Amino acid sequence: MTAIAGTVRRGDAIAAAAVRMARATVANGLIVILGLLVSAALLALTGADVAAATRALVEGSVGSPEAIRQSLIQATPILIAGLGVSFALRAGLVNIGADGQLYMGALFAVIVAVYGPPLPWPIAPVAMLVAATVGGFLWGALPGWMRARLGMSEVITTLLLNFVAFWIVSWAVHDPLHDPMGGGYPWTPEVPAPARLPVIRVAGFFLPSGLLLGLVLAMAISFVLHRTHFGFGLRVIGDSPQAARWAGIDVSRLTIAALAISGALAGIAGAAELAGNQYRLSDFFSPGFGFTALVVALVGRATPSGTVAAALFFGALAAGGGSMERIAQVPASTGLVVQGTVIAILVASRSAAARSFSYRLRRRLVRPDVGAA
Amino acid sequence: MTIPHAPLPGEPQGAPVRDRAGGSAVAGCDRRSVPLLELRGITKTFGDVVADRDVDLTVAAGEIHALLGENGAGKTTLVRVLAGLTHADSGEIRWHGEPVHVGSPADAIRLGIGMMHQHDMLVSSLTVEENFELARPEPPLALGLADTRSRVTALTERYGVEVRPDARVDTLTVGQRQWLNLLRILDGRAIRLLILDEPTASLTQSEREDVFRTLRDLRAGGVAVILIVHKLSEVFEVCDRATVMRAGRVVATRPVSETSKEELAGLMVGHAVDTRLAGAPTAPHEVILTVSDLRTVGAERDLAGVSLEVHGGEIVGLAGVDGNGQRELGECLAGVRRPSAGTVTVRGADVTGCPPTELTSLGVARVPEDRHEHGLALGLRIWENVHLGRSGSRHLVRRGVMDTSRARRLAAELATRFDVRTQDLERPVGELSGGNQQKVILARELGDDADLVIAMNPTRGLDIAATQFVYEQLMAVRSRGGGVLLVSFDLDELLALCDRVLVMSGGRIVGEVPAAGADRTLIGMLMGGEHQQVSGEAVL
Amino acid sequence: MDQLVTIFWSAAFLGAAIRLSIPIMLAGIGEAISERGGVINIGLEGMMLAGAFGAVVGAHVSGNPWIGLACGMAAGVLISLPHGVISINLGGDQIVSGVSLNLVALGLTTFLFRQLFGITDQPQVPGFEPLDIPVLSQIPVLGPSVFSQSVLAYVAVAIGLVLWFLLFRSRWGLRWRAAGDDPAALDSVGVSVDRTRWGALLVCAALAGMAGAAISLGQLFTFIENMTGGAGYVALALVIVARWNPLWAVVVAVAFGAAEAIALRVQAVGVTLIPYQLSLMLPYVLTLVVYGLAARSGRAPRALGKPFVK
Repeated sequence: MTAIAGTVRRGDAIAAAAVRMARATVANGLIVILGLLVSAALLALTGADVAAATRALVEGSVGSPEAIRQSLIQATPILIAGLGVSFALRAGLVNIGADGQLYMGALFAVIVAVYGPPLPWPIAPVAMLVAATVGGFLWGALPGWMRARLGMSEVITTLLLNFVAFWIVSWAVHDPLHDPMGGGYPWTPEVPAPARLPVIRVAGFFLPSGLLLGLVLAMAISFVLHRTHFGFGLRVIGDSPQAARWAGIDVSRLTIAALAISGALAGIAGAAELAGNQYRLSDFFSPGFGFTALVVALVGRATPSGTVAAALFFGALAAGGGSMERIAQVPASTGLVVQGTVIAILVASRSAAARSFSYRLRRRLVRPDVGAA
Repeated sequence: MTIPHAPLPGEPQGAPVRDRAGGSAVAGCDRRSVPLLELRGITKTFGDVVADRDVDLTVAAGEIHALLGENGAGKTTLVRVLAGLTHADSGEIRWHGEPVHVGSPADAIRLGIGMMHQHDMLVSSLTVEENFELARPEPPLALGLADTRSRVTALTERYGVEVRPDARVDTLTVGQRQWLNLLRILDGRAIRLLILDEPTASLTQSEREDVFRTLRDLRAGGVAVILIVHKLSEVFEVCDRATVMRAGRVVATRPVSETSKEELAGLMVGHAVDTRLAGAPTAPHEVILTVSDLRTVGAERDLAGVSLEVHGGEIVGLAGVDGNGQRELGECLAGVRRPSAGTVTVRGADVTGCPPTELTSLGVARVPEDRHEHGLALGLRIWENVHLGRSGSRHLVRRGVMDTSRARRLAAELATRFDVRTQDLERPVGELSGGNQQKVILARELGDDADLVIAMNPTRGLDIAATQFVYEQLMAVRSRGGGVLLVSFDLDELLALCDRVLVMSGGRIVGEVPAAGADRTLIGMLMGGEHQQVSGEAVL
Repeated sequence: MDQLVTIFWSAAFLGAAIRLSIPIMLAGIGEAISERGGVINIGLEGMMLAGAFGAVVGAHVSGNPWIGLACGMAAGVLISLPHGVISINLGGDQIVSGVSLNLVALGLTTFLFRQLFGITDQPQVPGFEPLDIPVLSQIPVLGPSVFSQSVLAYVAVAIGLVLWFLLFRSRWGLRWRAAGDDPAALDSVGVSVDRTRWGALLVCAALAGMAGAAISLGQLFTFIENMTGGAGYVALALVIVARWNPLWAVVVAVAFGAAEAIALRVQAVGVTLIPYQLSLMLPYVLTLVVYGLAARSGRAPRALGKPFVK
């Protein structure tokens, strides 16, 4: 109470911020572990061999350089789409439509890559990414506009637009973009080699370049949120739309912009997955990347750094889940149970009741004499 | 809503409603020696804030007990404990001498404790009769609306409240809703203790007198009443004893007949207060703000043609009962509501319907009424809130990029200048106390030497020191030649601070009174919408 | 023009419209009640999926569709319990909690189904066959469509009527509406907001479970991974269009069902002009359009999605 604001040194503030971040990381790590344990218990109840499943999970995610490469490849789309969901969350908007935006991004990208003029590397992947950005941007701007101008809840609209996007893509890969030489599968021709995102070899490890792109985007988002006027406005509307209105911030415009950019990021995720992993767009392209992106954003507390950490973890979980299915015959769908359980525990731990409980607990532990005062 | 005489309230089972002589017989004469209610050592904390500290209070049947204290003294928390709305950390409630547990409002209702809240507790999307029905304890399936309707009609007729039972509550006036609250408490229950938390704050003079008459009738019937009031005159008007609280503790309990307004006021604030703060009238400056014939459509209370002027070097007060258009006027002047007709000019420039950012660049400061909702982004950092909506005008942004180190430095300077007490400007502003939050708003709004300030209830919920600080800042604006429009529900504040006071009622300005030596009765009459009778005296 | 008439004024079309509307009707009625009470269920889809799964398991084991229906409702309730604890008792974020419910339901039903039936075995279970109502089912066009539905159709409409009555004419309904609009006011008159909201949520969960059973036992007579396919999300939008009114939910559900039936008709009649994927998209687009028209005029319960913390 006695120290006046101006006298506090900057370094202290940064140190305090670092402590807060470390604490949040530990807390989220514990929640994820708890989620894994609860899911394991659920599996055990249904008679699965939990020990074998766990072994397969670890082996398949971090057990070998190839496993790590798989984990990083799996992490790439959920990282970039997760950044998109985080970005909207910071503006107070729940984007459940990352899956649809990802599909639209991939659709735009595949049109440019496969049906556009042949382009050399690196122009081809850039052109793909730009096209995907446009596709995702438009598909995100639409619910933004619906919310800002028509008063529709973005939760509902983004959910419904997922289905619209899916059926558009499904039609496209069955009909106009269908690869007649594709063995009868409903998918497009492969993205030509110059348009693909390579895997870079660094110190014996394989880094998908899409993942590097994600890391760069994370830094860019961090800059936008904390160092730009636009990001400041976004965080104000995310914290209090009313305060934003009184401060003269154009809430409608920023709402549209936030969801559009969120969608653009999800679109880029689609292009990264297309050009870095699957090479063909199909109507089974996304195994729910958009929902995992939401999980990743929530676990990462909507911060770019947290999202990166969470995406790497869930990427590993996805890669490990594949090997779990192959080796331990535990279906990969249990990964969804883990995700759901982690979010449930997370949201419970951040609820009002949990906060007041942890406050009381802390007070009792730190200052046992306070009750007597 | 004027009634010549309010007859006795409800005739519920055993409700102790007789005349004064018969009252004691009902109120448990065999327990005469034991007080109805005893609170012992009630302590309640919220986080690190101690709302009530070791509070003792005794209330007897058949008395009206005033609970006095400044905002934040712990009165409301104490009665919320009693009504089962919140749980005390420690302490004991004794009822007829027996310890009781009041864990929920249902427990309180079972004991016969009824509470009338500061803000009414009616569901506004339901009808009047549905709200009465909601409070009935019978099993939940059947809806006895016909029965309820006849009871509501009987009650409203008896008390002269002109309300249809099937009217939706959100179509009613504040006064009507408060009345219905009280009637609902009296409906169908054996009420033993009635708690009223500032019931008169938003009532007209005549409505207030009706409420007091009802309270006296209840007292005559042996009901105990705890009345939280802010106006000392009301203590002497209706109460038997008064307990004064300060900073969460009971300072003193006095029989009203043995005390004086001066003593109670002294106990409340802890030291003597000088009332008139405003200095000598400054020489009239040029007009800064001109509002002419401002109207709105579709607001809660539409403006019906408001005209006023604010000159440099003066503080103009805007008095009125809550909900008479002050909020809407403030919103129009703050650029968050678009008027349907009329003009607003600042130093001759037409700013009607201008967005807030433009007002900022013209030097118009706005202190919103609701700090938490409108004034601050609570989750954002303190230094960020100091620049909220002003980062553009402070040249902190170049090509969209914010100079955050300059912003931090500037915020630190302003925070020091405006005495924001905190260790760390990087913390969320929501962690600050109410007073410090208001200082953050003042630092933001007044830091650039604004020459017009629109302040809406800027001291609501603040402690004395913070209130004093706000006053000083507004006076400083005045003395450097700026103009202030101060909207407040606190007449004492207006009369202490302002050069002249405008009174608002029904969406228009109904009178103007110079603050020095003002006739409170006149202002009260104007606020109560009785301007026809006094318009001859009021200077319009 | 004649072709249009034969498409739309036919027993097949009307019958399909009603049949397809039953799941979203039941889920929509339930969600209307829950949202009136202040609890939003993004997890409606997951509750339906659990219901569809539970119903198939129950019907398979017992050989009786009614026991299957009961199991489906129980499964819907069971999977909604964590959501209730989180959003009502703990005051957590209801939307995020609902998303987690969907993920768990999808993962768990897929996993359990494979554990129980393997990958190759696709059980056929007894379900609810269409029921001809005597006399009425003889009316041309309307008879074979409206009056030869499965019993669930009549049950759904009856539930809509009953819950409309409860919501607007009973003290339960009064409490639900108060819990969703002004929980503090409800609390102040001595009624537990938590208990009231739990009541509304459980009604919704049971109806969502029934809705899932209406898909698995009323349409396909088996369980397929993710077989609800977004019907829960459609029901969420339906509630807004129906303005949180169970009776309107019945009407709007039939309209939505008709949109879906159009898609199927277009496919069946072989209108090559529109690819069938795009006609499958139609219900979602129509939902968005109708929601867009209704969004401004409707007023959601004021405390919807907001935890009540004393």
